[in-house]
Amino acid sequence: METAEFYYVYYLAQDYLQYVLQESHLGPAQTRVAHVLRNIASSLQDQTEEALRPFLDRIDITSVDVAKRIFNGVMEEKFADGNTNWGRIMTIFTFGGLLTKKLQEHGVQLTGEEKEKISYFITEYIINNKAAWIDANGGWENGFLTKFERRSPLSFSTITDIFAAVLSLFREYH
Amino acid sequence: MMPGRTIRKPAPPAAPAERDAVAECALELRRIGDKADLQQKVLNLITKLFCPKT
Repeated sequence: METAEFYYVYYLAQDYLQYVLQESHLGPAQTRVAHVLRNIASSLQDQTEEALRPFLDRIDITSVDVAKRIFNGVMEEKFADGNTNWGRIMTIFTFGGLLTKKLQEHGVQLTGEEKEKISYFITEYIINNKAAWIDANGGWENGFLTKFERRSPLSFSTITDIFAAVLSLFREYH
Repeated sequence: MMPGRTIRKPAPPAAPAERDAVAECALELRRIGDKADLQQKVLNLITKLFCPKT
């Protein structure tokens, strides 16, 4: 029987996949964590797709079972150096999103059941391998939200642009 | 409805092309994740320094 924690992550995975697939019936996120995950992880989605497409284009992802095998292999290798952080946790979702899109590109009809299977294997990986780390790092509410909920009106790229401008002004006069 | 758990069968060995793709994807994801984490740390630090009330 799955735990409450399992269902919590399962909802996050399901909501994120629906968001990435731009499903028309999707309303606002039901929780603050899901809302922040949609915003932050989707900002990494394009970057993930651009970086990984050349590698994924070499292999045929023709079924959910193949997607699951690739997902588990990539996750095992990604965390093989023993390091975990919230950025890496987010790429679990972005990679799940990318595999789902690849399945669609390969003409796999993604029924509700197929999408549930994808959300399920993403959740299974997180619960079996990362739940202890997530718990030790404040959990979704006190760890993830505290770190990623936007408290600054500026984005990282705006701040780096400001720093670059200040630096070039400084160089001009010194 | 949740998909039921099935008895795990041993996975067939992955083809070399798949093994390479898996390794490359893992490295890229690691890089993207670490960078996002670091950027957020810096952003939070700057916010703390310059906007302490937020």
